Amino acid sequence: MEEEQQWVREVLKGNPQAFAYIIDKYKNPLYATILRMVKNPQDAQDLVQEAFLKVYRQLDKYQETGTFSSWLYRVAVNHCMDEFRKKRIRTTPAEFAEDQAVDRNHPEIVYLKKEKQRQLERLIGTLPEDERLIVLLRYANDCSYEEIGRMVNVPVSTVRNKLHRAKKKMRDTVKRERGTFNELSNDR
Amino acid sequence: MNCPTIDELSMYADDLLTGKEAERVFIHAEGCPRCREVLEAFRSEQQFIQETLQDPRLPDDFTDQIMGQLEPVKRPKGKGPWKKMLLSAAGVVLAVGVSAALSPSFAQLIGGFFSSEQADEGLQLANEAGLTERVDLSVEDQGITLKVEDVAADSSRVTLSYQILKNGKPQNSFIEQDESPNQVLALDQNGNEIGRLGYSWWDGEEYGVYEFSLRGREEIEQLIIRFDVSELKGKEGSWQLDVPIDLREKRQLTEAVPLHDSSFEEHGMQVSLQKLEKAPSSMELYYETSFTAERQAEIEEVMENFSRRFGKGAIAPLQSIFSTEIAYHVLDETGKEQYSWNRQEDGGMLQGEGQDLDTLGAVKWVNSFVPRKEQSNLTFVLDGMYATEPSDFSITLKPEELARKPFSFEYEGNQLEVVRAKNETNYHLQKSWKPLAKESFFMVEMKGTRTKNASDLDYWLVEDGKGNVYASGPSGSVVNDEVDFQLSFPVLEEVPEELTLHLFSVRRYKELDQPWKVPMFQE
Repeated sequence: MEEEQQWVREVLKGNPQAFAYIIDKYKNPLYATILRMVKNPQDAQDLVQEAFLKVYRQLDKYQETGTFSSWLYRVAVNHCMDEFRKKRIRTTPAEFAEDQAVDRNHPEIVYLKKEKQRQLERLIGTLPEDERLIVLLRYANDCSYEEIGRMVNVPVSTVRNKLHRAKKKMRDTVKRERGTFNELSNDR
Repeated sequence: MNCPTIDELSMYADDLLTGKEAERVFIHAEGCPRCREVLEAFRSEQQFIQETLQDPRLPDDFTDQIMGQLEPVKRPKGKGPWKKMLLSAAGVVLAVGVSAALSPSFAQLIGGFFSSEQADEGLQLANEAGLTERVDLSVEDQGITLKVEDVAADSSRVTLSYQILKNGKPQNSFIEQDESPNQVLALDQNGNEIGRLGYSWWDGEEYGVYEFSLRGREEIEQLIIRFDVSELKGKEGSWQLDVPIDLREKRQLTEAVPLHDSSFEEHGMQVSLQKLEKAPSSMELYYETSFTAERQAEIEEVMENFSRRFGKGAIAPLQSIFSTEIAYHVLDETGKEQYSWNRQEDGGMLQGEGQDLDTLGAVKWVNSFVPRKEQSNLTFVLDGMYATEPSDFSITLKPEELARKPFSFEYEGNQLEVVRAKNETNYHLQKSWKPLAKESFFMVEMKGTRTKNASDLDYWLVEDGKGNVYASGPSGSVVNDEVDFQLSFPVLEEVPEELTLHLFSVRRYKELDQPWKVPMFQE
């Protein structure tokens, strides 16, 4: 966290270049979440870009209390969700770009993993928005329950309940379809 | 054995149990292999979810795309004031934010707390000079109260602090303005709006602060800060408040040091100092820079040649690109450097504004600084001058071959490579989110390194296969000594096999042989 605060100070002193470090650190986790909320890579990329610009413009509002990541996610996620809800563009969910890497020793293992990952993506996509956002903030962004509560403006107990409910739902769905969820994830 | 339910084990794995419950599960699991196995399965599940979700990655140039929008190396064409480096103002506000947490009153806040170099001593001095007032105006609607606490005003700026209260308890002080009907304005005695210098609020803290600039507005004697808020804390209502501020007495605390148009001329440029205004909360230096008459004539002739070569249509809009700037520092009585402008390090600057004048390359400047406590007799020292002037340089390359072999060249301290030159489609980000507008450009990217006082490459011209000429300024970044910028020209219908890029303008730094010193105090 020390390094981030240093970067923030650099930018505020008049060196915008330091902001590149901040973007590099947070672009992928942020994209991971936004992508699955809006379900379209192009829309998600644009929202994430806008969010970073907004973070940059509001950098002077960050006091050095609380983690920088939770402040950044709050500004960014709120921006993306506000814009997404406002516009409600009905885009057809696109297939995510396939990961090209293959384990040469056990190609069938990679295939299996891809299958499970696809299934997980689908499951997450079927969750209602509020539960989905919480799951993403927890697992893609490593946010604490308190941080998530502040970001989406609900009490921490609600965050916990929703997360638990969401995971139960996903497991139940998998059970109905085939096997148990943790069976799948164990099988590597 | 009374094993916990699968549900409970799942919640334990997710850190969803309270202290006592979690302890129970932990103790049980220590002695129960079956439950440990289940917990292990849940942990693997979590890991799998994390790995999957953290997987999609953005394209490599994503960061660059954003950075390119942060640092507009090209400056707006045409006349009109443009601001430089407003970021220092944020430094001011950060300092205030720190103390807001400890002190219930703004006046005490600015009086009591600044201790670091970066702090806004200006506000502190203003307080000491008796320029802050407890105002205590408030308006209530829907159970929410908007309350203005203190106002600090002098001839250079007005700063106001406020709170938002619900049942007497302070709330987060943020007031949405970006996409909202809410307005907070400052109006002079004729009802004209005064530009806002800054706005800050701190999450979890009780105060918000507005700042309005009064620079160069000597005629303002009275002003009103008007809150016109209809959306607050998620509720719709009406919170309207007018805060009247009388500046007449306060102006008397400003000392103006006339500098009698002291001028200096070198390298075809001129700088002329007009005055230094010392107000308790900020200090302003007014000056003008320009090319000498001879240099102007030379530049005009070069422009004529460009027009003949490339056509008036392409060249005429570029007239206002040429300009002049200076780099300087200010010493106090003991010879210690207190402020600087256009140098790398933080020069105590609050804001810098430049307004293009009618003559080619002439600019009228106001540089504002946070005054240090010792507002002693100051001396201005000119270090060098910048000219954005025409260049006579071009490169010819083969766009098709760049991917294999970038085109290298050197120019005035820059070692660069052209890495791509092709028609591309980018997504155009607009200020408020609208359905994507795709824009196509002919994009040229150059990367490389530069030495310390290397010239800045400015506008370039390109010609397509049909004789059309287009211009573009660079947008990109400079990190340490590494350069990476892009030029975006309109799409070239016909990309020639051999493409020539002409460097139209360049910003050069000309260091002075001997520094020019001007005392800025009344004898």
